[in-house]
Amino acid sequence: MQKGWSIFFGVILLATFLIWFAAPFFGWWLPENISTFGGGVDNLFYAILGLTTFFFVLTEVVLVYAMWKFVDRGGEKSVYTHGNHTLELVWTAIPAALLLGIAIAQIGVWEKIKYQSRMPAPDLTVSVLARQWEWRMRYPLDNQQFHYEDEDQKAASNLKSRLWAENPNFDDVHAINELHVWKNANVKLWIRTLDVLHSFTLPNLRLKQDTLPGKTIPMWFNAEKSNCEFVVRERSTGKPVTLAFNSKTKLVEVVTPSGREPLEARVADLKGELETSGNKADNWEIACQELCGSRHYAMRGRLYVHADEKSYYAWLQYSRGAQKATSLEAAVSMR
Amino acid sequence: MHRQATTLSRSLVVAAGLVVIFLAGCDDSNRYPAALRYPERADLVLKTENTTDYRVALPPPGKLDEAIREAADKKLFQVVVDPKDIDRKDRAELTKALEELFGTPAAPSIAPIEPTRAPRGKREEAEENLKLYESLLSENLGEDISDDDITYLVTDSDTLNKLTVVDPRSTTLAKGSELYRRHCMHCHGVAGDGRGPTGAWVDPHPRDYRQGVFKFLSTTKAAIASGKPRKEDLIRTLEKGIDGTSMPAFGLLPRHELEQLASYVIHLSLRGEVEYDTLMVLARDKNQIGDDLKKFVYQRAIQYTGQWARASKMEPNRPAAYPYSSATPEEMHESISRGYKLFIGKAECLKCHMDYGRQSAYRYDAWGTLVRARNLTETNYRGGRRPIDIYWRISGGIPPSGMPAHALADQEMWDLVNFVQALPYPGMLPDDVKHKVYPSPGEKH
Repeated sequence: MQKGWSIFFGVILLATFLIWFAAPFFGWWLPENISTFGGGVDNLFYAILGLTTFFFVLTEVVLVYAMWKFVDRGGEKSVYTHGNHTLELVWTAIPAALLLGIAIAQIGVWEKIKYQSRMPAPDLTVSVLARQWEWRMRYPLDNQQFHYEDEDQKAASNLKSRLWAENPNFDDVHAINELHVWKNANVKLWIRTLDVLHSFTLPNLRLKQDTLPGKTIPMWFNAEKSNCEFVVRERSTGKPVTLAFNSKTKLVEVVTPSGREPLEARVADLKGELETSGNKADNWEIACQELCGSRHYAMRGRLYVHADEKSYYAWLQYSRGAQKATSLEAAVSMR
Repeated sequence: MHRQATTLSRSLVVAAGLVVIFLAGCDDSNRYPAALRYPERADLVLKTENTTDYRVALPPPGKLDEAIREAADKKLFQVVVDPKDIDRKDRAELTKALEELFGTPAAPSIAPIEPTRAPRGKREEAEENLKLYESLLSENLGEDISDDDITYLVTDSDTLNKLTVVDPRSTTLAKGSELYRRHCMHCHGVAGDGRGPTGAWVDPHPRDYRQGVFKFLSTTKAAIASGKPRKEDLIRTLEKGIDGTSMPAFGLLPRHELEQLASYVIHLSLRGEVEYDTLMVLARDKNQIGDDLKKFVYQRAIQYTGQWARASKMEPNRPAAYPYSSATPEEMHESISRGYKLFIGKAECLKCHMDYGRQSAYRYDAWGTLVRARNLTETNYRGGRRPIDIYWRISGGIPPSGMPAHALADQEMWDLVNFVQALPYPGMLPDDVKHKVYPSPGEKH
């Protein structure tokens, strides 16, 4: 009868193992990677997963086998041992070597993602302010001010953008729970919190950073895939309007037969909308991964990667126009 | 051998039990239990019109009702009614009438249910209730309010679009109640009293809907004597949250869910206001009710439904055209300077927003909690940061917290809005104004 226990545990462990194998087929796995450095994170993840799986299976097999084999054999006396030096050395040295291996293998990936000195010059800067229970994003109207070509200007630019993150500008565009960037842009984020610890997580980018009260923490990423485009239509007719984009001044203008007008000034009679594929897999999430209070579960947002710079700036300048609404017509321009 | 078998079978029983609990625990429904009733109001019923400034420390967190009671004992409020003092019989009658009208958290409504949908033994009673309600309708609702107006209040676009829905009103409210339970209840409470488990611990306290008054309206109080918001105003508050308070934004919820939530909040507010008002009258002027409490409750419910419908029908307050759309920086500076002069002079903003709000004193709001005029040198605006939001706050006021409505000339309004918008950013202010608002150390202002 006592052998039943080894069967019981054996079956449970086997089931756990099989569920783990089945999980990806039910969608319980990492979401699609869209960042430039995500591949490195995934490789590390799989390497560590492979190692731990191997040792997990090994130890569990030995454990269950030992339960089966050495179950009470009636009247036999136990043998006491004071340990085996060689064995202990072996099982200490192997994990130590493996850990050291992992520690060395991860340096390159970590450095690329987290080292401030390795962060590229930003095409876009966003301030993210966490609070119970939402993410408040702030976008500068002018991203050029933080851009630099020369590495010498890096420190000065960094300080400037950090000061901006800590002190809002009059022109800033505010959005709640929505992170907008464009494809292939180097994005710099400054992460802060108003209250408690939160953890700003972008699963699709394999990126995660805790927010610490009192600290302004930089993050960066570059998304290689887009999931949306900003389309502007005539409010009355629903016809899409033609937009012109000046890549130098970053100004988006509405092209009409009579001439051009800044998009920002036309929100009252235009309707701008984010168009997405509608596929669930293209809903890229922002999540809080630090239990931060009773509504922690609801502290979610969306990552919108625009197809190109033009789409992003159209969204930005349209939002700016909506934020400057002075008429009833403009007040309904954006949800 | 026997003992080992018992251990094993015991473990199996425990394991089976755990499996059962595990499977039963995951229920998709967010619905309130059907047997749950709205709680009777137990906290003090207040009327405050206090305009006195206080230099006090805020009460410690978690002491919402204790602090209100303490202030009431010090006679700081105009009217205080303790629901405990109401005759038990009247109270029971009120509770019953409220339940007939507003149902339960799981099955909310704003009018007596159709007799066909009442439980078997209660059809006759339901028929009577409905008859009474309908007989009072024309007299109390107001002729300007149609059935469609009320439908708009308590339905959502998704439900209306579905052909299979028999009763869009109660379907919307039931869905709203599920969403409310999930997203709002823990702060705003089952009855919408702002006294959910976390409610007392956040400052400012979550809105108590039971007085039927709200802060952020796009209409003016002069236009809507009841001070009720438009349904669209509630939806916007849900969508954007309230910066500077614990109210988060729910903008990622689909539009129809926001509508369902707003409808349910209207339902809670209606129920709460009828209760609030009836308790007030019972304590202070019982003769007004006569001998038919139920009829009084029904009348009030219809009147308030009319007020909500009237507010939602209303066009928002339309501002005069913004004169500075294509202003030069110099013209903008002039406008800001004029706004500054209005702020410190004619509009009397400094009276409450002392030192531009940095040193505002506390006052009691309509709910008996301490609030202070906004610190306008900070960059958050609770009712929204768009110029039109600030225009609405100034022109309509925020009646429940004592911010008065301002009647200024069109251009003056926009000058003031421009100044308030530029105020937190010293770089945006003309030099002379900047030195007044942000004096350097040692400089007098």
